[in-house]
Order: sequence, then structure tokens, then C-alpha cells
Amino acid sequence: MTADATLPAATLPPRGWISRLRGRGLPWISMIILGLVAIAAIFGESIAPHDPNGLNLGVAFRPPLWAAKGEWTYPLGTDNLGRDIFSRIITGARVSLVSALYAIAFAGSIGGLVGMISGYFGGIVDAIIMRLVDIQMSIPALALALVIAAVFGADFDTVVIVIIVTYWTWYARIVRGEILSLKERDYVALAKVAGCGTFTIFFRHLLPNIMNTLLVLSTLQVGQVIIFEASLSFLGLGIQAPDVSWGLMLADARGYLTNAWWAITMPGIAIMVTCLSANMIGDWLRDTFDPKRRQL
Amino acid sequence: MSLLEIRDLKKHFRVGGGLLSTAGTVKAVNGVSFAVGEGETFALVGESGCGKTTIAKMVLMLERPTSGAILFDGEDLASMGSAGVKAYRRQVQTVFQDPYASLNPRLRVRTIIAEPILAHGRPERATLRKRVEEVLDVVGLPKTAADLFPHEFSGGQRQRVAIARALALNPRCIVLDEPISALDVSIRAQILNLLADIQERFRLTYLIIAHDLALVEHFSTRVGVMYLGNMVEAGPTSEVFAHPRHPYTQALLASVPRPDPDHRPPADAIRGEIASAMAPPSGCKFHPRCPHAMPVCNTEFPGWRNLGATHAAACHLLELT
Amino acid sequence: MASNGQALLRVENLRTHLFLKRGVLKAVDGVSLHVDEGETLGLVGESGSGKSMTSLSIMRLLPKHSGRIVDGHVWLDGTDLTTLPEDEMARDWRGSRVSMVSQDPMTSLNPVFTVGDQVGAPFRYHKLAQGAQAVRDAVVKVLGRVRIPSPERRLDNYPHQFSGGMRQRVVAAMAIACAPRLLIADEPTSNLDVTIQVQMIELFRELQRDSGLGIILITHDLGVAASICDRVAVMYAGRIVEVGDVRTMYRAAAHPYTQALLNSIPHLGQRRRRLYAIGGQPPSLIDPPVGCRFAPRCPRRTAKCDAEYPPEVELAPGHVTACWHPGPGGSA
Repeated sequence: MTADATLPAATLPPRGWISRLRGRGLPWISMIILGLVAIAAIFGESIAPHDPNGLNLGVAFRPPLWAAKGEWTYPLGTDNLGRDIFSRIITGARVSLVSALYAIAFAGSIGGLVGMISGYFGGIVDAIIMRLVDIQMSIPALALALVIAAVFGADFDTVVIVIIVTYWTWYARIVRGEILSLKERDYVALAKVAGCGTFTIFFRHLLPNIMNTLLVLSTLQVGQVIIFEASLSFLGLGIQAPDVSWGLMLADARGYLTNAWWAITMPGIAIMVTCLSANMIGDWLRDTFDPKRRQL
Repeated sequence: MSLLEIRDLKKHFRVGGGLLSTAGTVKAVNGVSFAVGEGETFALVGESGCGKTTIAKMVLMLERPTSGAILFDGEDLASMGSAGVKAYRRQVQTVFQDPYASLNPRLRVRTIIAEPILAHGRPERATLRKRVEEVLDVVGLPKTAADLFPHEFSGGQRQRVAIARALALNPRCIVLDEPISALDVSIRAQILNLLADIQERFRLTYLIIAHDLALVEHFSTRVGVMYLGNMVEAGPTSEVFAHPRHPYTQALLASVPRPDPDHRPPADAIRGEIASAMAPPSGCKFHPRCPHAMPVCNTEFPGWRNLGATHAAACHLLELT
Repeated sequence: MASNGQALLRVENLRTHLFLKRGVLKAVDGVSLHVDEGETLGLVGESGSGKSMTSLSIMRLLPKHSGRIVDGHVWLDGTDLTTLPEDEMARDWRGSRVSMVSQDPMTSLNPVFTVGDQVGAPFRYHKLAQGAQAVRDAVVKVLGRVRIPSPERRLDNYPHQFSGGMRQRVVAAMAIACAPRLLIADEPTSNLDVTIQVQMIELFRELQRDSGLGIILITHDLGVAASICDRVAVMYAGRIVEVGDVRTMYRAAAHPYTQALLNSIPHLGQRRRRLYAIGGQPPSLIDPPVGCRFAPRCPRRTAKCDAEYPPEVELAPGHVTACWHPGPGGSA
């Protein structure tokens, strides 16, 4: 039995996600923007130059820095009550990011687990779960938000609950699809032949293989969730004053759109830039993990 | 005296109606019986759709039979309790065709080989380590292989790892599903010789699934030829290959391209193609392609006819003699 | 290797490299071969031996960013294909004068177009038939040539309505639609069942008989090669190690690798207790050995084998091998 005893000397792990990330050009700009948003979310009021709720009617409707009569004190201008828009955007980042992270963590775990169960066991379990998902997906999210807000009151928790209830279905569907093909893999069959239990198969052979998918999907959803939170707050179903959120800023600025364009544009840009960055990172992660797009 | 006995085994799959197809039943395995004696190598041979892989899956308890029985050591798999199933799993292991798909790419070889052992107990670390190194040695891999990942190996080496894993529990029977067909030509002989060595060394019983007739002739002691869910001929390999009695076996043997320029397969070895498993022909399923088809072949399914102590075939022609 | 005056295809010292992140993979490293009119050359080797890369180089279908012909010539009917501009290659050569049948008929056929559409495409593209009716007639004729029963009715069927063997016939019909001079068949039978395989082998023989087509058959199956080929070239690690007439190659192979290949597979009707196993594995083509590439696995290895790549020796007319110690086998 001396045949082919030549083995490579190195014991490198398979190219894990960290080394794969390094292998490609990083979306630096997107990462910096998200980093800044994260800093704003963490430190919020303590780094904001002004009190985000500080009323000062004397400085109402100050235009942004670069416009005529703009000044450094209020770089992005002020709103109808003289509140500094820059400070409000910094403070509002917390609601946007925290709601996104909460919602995604819960929606991802619930949806992921349900999807795994549905895909792995198939049959009647799968049929019931998938019909539930279909029903959930056919309920308009806003109608659901109205009901939940009516029952529990409109606040941060409502936003998070609505987002979780709306988004877990995406995870369930996609994870189920992945599991359907993963469970047919030879090594899963071999684990059964070896006598491994369902638990071992789930956590040793299936879960590690869907982590990439979960990560990519979650990043792509950050953008969507931020917009959704903004929409809810805009409609008055989410964050209420004196808390600050980007969606609430949009709602407030609606009334004086014609005489202070910046009050609605600035939070709008904040939402857009944050979503765009999250989506670009998500796209990049997807391409990086997609074996078909990976270079040799 | 047989270790593994298959009795009138059937597996029917329902195929759902899609956009372009209607629902139907595929009779992947339709009443197959055979027995594998301890220490022997029984080969199931046939073309795609003949049901050989489905039988392997049922033996491995990866699929549940629609009807019929699988007996191991005289005990019916269907009536085993969970302890019985566990004991069965210790004794019956498998090696699959594609060594790239059968090893989880995220696990080290040590974990892969230890998996079956840990599924059946909690040995001490040192014992486990020793056992892993032992089986690696049996398959001709150095101890250092245990710390590598599958992607660091060539196809042949991966198949050795897969064999080591199958040996880890000291099984009595190994189901080999096309164990060399995914490997390179120059590697195949290494693996075949290795399988022969370990069979002798550990007194293993093999059930091998293959489409390569030359391999089956070389490797097996008994053979069952399958066509569209039925076994059409079975017997000692040397006898079936030397004196094939079923027209399908004959056609199959004549079709094999041989590495001999003076023995080119005849153009008229066989006509037509395998019928769809969803709409198999009536009577003998081979009759539309059979050069000797008679009216009765169209209507009646042929029964088994013994052609000696252990050689048998299912063909109406044999009734005539 | 031995070149012939009126060869249809002459490949001279072809080197095709793949530029990968890991390094430069010398997939084809100095291959010379020729195919005469009406002849079938078998290109036999294991995966990674460079046989498919050789065919892709002839077709100029190498992976866009990583693959490049770095040296050598491919003469087809006196024209060097390696120097042609891409648009001329696509217009006048690829798919018309030189075409290809690949291993998997399902990926060669588009499931959303009818078979008639797809087989008609080469006629329309190369302007060999004008007008819908003329194309239709041409398609019926070519489907008849590959022995598809009642082609005028099957024309409007979709690929999924054909069986595996019939699909491979459709792919063959597309390949011979423009009456090519050279057909490259890359493992055309390895996904087919044995009983269908024998029918395809017969089809290839027939096509050649009535057209004088030159065929390169790429395969790892020594049985298939013996059944169709006139000559056989054995590739190992990017180079041809032995080439000769099919009888010579199977009866009197001189290169130890060819002999080992023949001895390592079970032969029907010749039961042996043990197979001859070639130890080790093929070398890395990123950093191949300087000497004979088979040396590390060779039973006749000497110091010379490790030091220098063996020159080609013509043992008999047309039987050429690159080995320091050619000769009959038996050492196995």
C-alpha cells in the first residue's frame, strides 16, 4: 500500500470566507459609508453638534452650507423649528440601523430555521410551512403594520415586529430551496448511513453550507429594511417624536417642501446612500461567494 | 446462509405533473429478489434507469421500499427497532461514486472518518485517533492525511478517504455504488486492487452497483443483470459472462467496446433505446428491442427459469428448449 | 509527429497555456499531430492530460481570459488557424470547415428552440441555404444522415422530446450540417449507455465512410478508441507520448504509459486476479518535471529519464514514441 502516498505538506483550511473576501477588490466606499452610519448610530447624540430636538425658531429654515446664506453652524440646514438637520440625521441613524439589525437577526434566525425544517423534512411539514409563507407574503406589509400599530401602539417595537413578520418569509423560502439541493448531497446521505442523527446532519452538514446565503441575503436586506422602517415612520406607524428617525424627518418636512427643499432632501439622501452601500456590499458578497462567478 | 437477502423488492415513485408532463408512477424497482452470501461480491449491472441504484439506496435505508423485504442476517429491516437500525448501520457501510461529492468540503479528514464512529459511541480521544490512523493506513494514506481537507487530495486519494470512512466501524458489508467510474483510468486499478485487498483482509461482503461490464466480470463473484426495474438474469459471474442466456445480457455483452481493434462491436448488436420508465412496454420490458421477440413476449411477463444450480434468467425463449 | 504531405490537419508544436492565479498551467506543451482525410485519430488520455485543451486550441475556443496559444501552428487545408483574425475564424472556419461534438448533448442544445431551428442555425449563419423552405429541406436531409427516424416530423420537436441517444444524434447533425472537413468529437459517447454507445460508434463510422471527413476522437475509454479509430495518440501531462496505427498501439505499444493504461483496465473475457496499478498520480502542469513526465510513475525509470525529456523515436513507419526505453511491455 505504498501507492500514492504523496500528500501536500501544507494543512491549509479550505478557502474560507475571510480569505475569499481578501481575494477580490473590496467595495471600499460602501464600507466607509456604512462605517460612518454605524458610528453615528452608536454615539448618536453625543457626537451630534446640536441637540436634535433643540427648538430654536430664530434659526428656522436655514439653508445648507453651500446655498446662499448657508452657514457652518448648520451644515445641512435647519427645519421649520430650527432643529439642526445634520444632528437629526446622526441621531436618526440609530433607529434605522438598530431596527435593521434587530429585524434581520430575528427574521434570519426564524426564517432560516423554518426553511431548514421545511426543506429537510419535506412532505406535509413542508406543505404547511410553505402555505403559511405564501399567506404571509400575500398580506400587504402596510396593512399588517396598521393592525399591529393599532393593537400595540406605534413605537420602535412595532417597527421591529412588523419587519420581522414581513421578512422572515424571504429567509424561509431561500433557505428551503438551498436545503432541498443540499440534502441530496452525497455526504448527507453518507452521514445517515453512518448513523448520524438529524441534529448532527443539521448542524454539521447543512447549517455551515447555508451561512453564506444567510449572510448575503441579510446584507441585501439591510437596505430594504431601512426603507421599510422609514416608510412606517413616515406614515406615523413607527417611531414617534421626540425620537428621531429618517422616515419621521421625511414626514415632518412634507408640510414645507416648497420653502425648504433641504429638510426633505437631506434625510432622503441619507436613506439612499445607506441603502446603496448596503446593496453594493451585498452584491459584492454574493458575487464573491457564488462559485460560478469565482475565478480559479 | 446469505447475509443479505432481497425479497420481491419494489419501489414506485410518484412523479408529479409539471407544466409539460402528466403525473404518473415510475416503477423504478419492480419485484427484484436476490441473495448475497457472506464474503461474496454480488454485482448489480444494467444501464441507466434499470433500478440498480434505487436498490442500493433501499439497502442503505436511504429509501423506504414500496413493498417487499430486505433481510440482513435473517432479520427484516422493516421490523427493526431503532436499536436494531443502529446495529444494522454499524454493519453496512457504503462508498459512493463521486469522491468530490461524498466528502463534506468543510471538514477535515479526521472528522470525516470519525463521524461514523462518533455516531455510535463516545470513545476516548486517543482510541479514536488510533482508529482513524489505523484505517488511513489500511487504505494506504499516511497519518498526516487526517489533518487535511478533502480539496487537498486528488480524486483517487479522496476515494481512499471514503473507503477508510466506510471501514471505520468494521462493517460486515459494504455497498459500492460505481466506486471507480468517476476516477481517472490510471487510478482505477489502484482503487480496485485496494477494494479487493480489504475484502480479503476483513472478510467483507460487497454489493457493487456498476454499469461497466468488464469491471463486473473482473470484480464480482455473482451478478444480477437488470433492465427497467426487473432482474432479467442472475448467476455466477463467470457463467453468466461465458454463457449469457437472456437476449439483453447477450446484447449488452456484444455492445461493450473492447480495447481490441479486431473486435469491433457489431453494428446490429442491439436496436432502439431503453423505453421510458414511466411507460414501460407490456409483457417482457425488453421485447421491443429483442431480436427474438415472439407474440407471447408482448403480452406476458416472463417468469424465472433455472438454468443450473444458481444460474437463472427470465425469458420466454427459455421455455421453448 | 510524423507529418504527411496531404494531411488534412497538421498541428505543429502546439503550446497552450492557461494563465491562472496559481500560476501558468502548461495544459498543452508541445503537441504535434496530423489527421488525414477520411481518417479517425483517437486522442486518448486522462483528465488533465491536455486532450480537450488541444481540441479547444484547434477550434480557437479557449477560455477567454485565461487561455492562450503561446506557440505552434494549426494547419487545416493549408491555412494556419492560429493566425486568423477572430471574425474570419468564426465566419469561414468554426462550425463550418471544422466543427465539434461535445460530451453532453443537453448543454449543446437550447431547450426553448425546436430541433429544426437549432440544426438550421449553421445553414443560416454560414449562408448555405437561403429561405425558410431551403433551410428546412437541408435540415431534414442532415437529420436523415444521422439516422433520426422520420426527420420531417421531428423537426418541430423540442430537445426534451428526444431521448438521450437521439439528442446526441441531433448534436452530431448540427456538427456535420455544413459538411465540415474536420470533426472534433470530445467524449461523444461517455454519457451514453452501452447499448446506445454502440449505435453512436456505428454512426461515426458511417458518416466518415460517405464524406471523407477527418475525425479527432477525444476519449479516455480505450475500448471506444479501439472501436472507431484508425490511429491512436496517447497524451500524458500535456504531451503526446505515443502515436501509431490502432493495431500497433493495442498489440505492440512501446511506451510504458500506454502499456500501463492497457494493463490497468479489466478486459472483458480475460479474467485476471489483479490489475496492474500505476502508482502515484499525474504531475502538476504548473511545474512539470524537467525530464520525462511519466518517469516518477514509470517502472523503467533511469537517471536519464529524470534529466531530459526523451526525443521522439520512430519505431516503425507511423509508430512514434517519446521514451528513453521503448519496448514491449511485460515488466508489469
